[in-house]
Amino acid sequence: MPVLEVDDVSAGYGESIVIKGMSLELERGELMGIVGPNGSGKTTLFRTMTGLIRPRSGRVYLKGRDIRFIPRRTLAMGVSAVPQLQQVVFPYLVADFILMGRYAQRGRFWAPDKDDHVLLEHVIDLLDLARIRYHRVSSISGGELQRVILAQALIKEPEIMLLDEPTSHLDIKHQVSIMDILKNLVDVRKMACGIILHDLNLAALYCDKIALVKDGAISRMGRPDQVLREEYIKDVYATDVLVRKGPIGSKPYVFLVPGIYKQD
Amino acid sequence: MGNKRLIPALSLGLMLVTVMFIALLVGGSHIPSRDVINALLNPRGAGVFHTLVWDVRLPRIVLGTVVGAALAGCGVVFQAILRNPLAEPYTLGVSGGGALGASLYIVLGIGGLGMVGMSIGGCLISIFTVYTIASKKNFSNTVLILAGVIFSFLFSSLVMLIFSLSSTRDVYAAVIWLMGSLSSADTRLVWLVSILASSALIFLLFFSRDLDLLSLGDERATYLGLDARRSKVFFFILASFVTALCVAVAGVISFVGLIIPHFTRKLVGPSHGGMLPCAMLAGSSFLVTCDTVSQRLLRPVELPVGVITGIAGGVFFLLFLLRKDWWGYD
Repeated sequence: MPVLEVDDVSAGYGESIVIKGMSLELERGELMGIVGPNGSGKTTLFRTMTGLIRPRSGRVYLKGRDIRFIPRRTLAMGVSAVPQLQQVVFPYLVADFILMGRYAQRGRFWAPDKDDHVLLEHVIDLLDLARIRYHRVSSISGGELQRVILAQALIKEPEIMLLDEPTSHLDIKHQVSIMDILKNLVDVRKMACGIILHDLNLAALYCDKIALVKDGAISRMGRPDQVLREEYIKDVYATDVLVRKGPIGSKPYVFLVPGIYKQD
Repeated sequence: MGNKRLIPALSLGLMLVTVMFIALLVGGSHIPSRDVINALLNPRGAGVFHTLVWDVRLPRIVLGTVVGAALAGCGVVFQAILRNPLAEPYTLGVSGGGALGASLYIVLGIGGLGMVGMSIGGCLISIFTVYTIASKKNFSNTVLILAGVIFSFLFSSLVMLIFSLSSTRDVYAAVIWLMGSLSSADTRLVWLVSILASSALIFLLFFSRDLDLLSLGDERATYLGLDARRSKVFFFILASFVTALCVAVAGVISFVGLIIPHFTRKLVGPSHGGMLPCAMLAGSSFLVTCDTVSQRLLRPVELPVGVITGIAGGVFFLLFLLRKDWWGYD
């Protein structure tokens, strides 16, 4: 049984419907990439999967339970969601900020104890944050903040992780290291991970399954080599690309074609 | 962790006790220190000094303590839930409604509820209105702030309209009220407001973790396990009611709710578990001090305490704003 199931969901904001009749399934031990052009409905799908917005029609199930009926804290215990990067207004210490991730497990009447600090050290190690642990979240770089936010999401040891463009502010070293960490959690701990990505090649390298989103619907879904094909990408993004077999793990590699090289 | 929180809180507590004691000794009228202490030591005593200490100075100091703590605490709450370091207890229009109610009573003599009833009524109307508007827009911060600002302007224009149609003497009384004062005549009212507001504030202290989460934004707070919308409404209503109580009994005392949260955030960091109680203690000390100054500065003329808090807070704010990196925002 899939741990997270989106069943024929339509959703949007106010009057406008952004996604129409989307269905997908996320399994344990699976890393699923969600790709698609700007404004195609990826973030709306993300917010529906996390239960932030209610579907206009259709259902989202967490382990077979309709998430509308799961209390917020219970939901947050099993599912870590990381929205797109947004500045933090108040100057929390990095360590205090990460520990806020324990709220779902520990509740409001709680002071961090030994267990929490063990977990804290673990995620600080994992995400290479030792250098900035005593800094304030308002004064670190975007890439550092993104890692701190991931640490906050990982400290609750979730079964499911959903991320909206977690690598967009990172340099290549940290892109790879974060995708490695997620891949490792998926393979070793059998976490289920759904991740919105802009970089098609990153998606090809790491994801077990890719959902290609177009105009609020899923246009293709399958293994990277089944989805990342020239004709599908051209159709969805309306731009020219070349797809070749890459040198690493024989995954497809998408080449962009700049205008000056285009033959008519 | 524990010590880091406890030391500033204890120091601020000690400071508050000292400030309260000095305020008792000094006060507005001249009483020899020995007589103040005598009166304090003999709660069942009698005489003019005894009455002055027990029925005038003490309630006034208690009111200053409670209102100071309430404004600072509500300032912290509004800054956190609106994710805006410029928010304060009056941002969402509570004071505007209160001012309108009070002006109607003072200037036009409307209202059988008395002055306090009228200003509380005004506050409630503005809370209700802002709530209704925001609830249609999912309590987004922008809508809350805009609705608050709109109603503040609307109410203050109505106050100006009332002023422009009335005689100078009544307007003078209303203006003095608007600037805030802790010299409430009704001792029973002081105790009532003090008990209500301080129980609300103590209740609030249990929710500091929720404030931490909300201050990260509604979406992130939701993903961390908080029902952000419900929680925001809870804080909005609670802090607005506490603010309304303050406005009704002490007028619109400016700047405490803005400056003290900043000061405390710098002192103990932004985590609300430490910051909220410290802000309340600091707010009390600040307001009681300002009130004592307002009584002494041009004696026998008593200045509105809101003027003193405004000037003191403004100068203080400016000095520290000019020191680079002091606030940690940039």
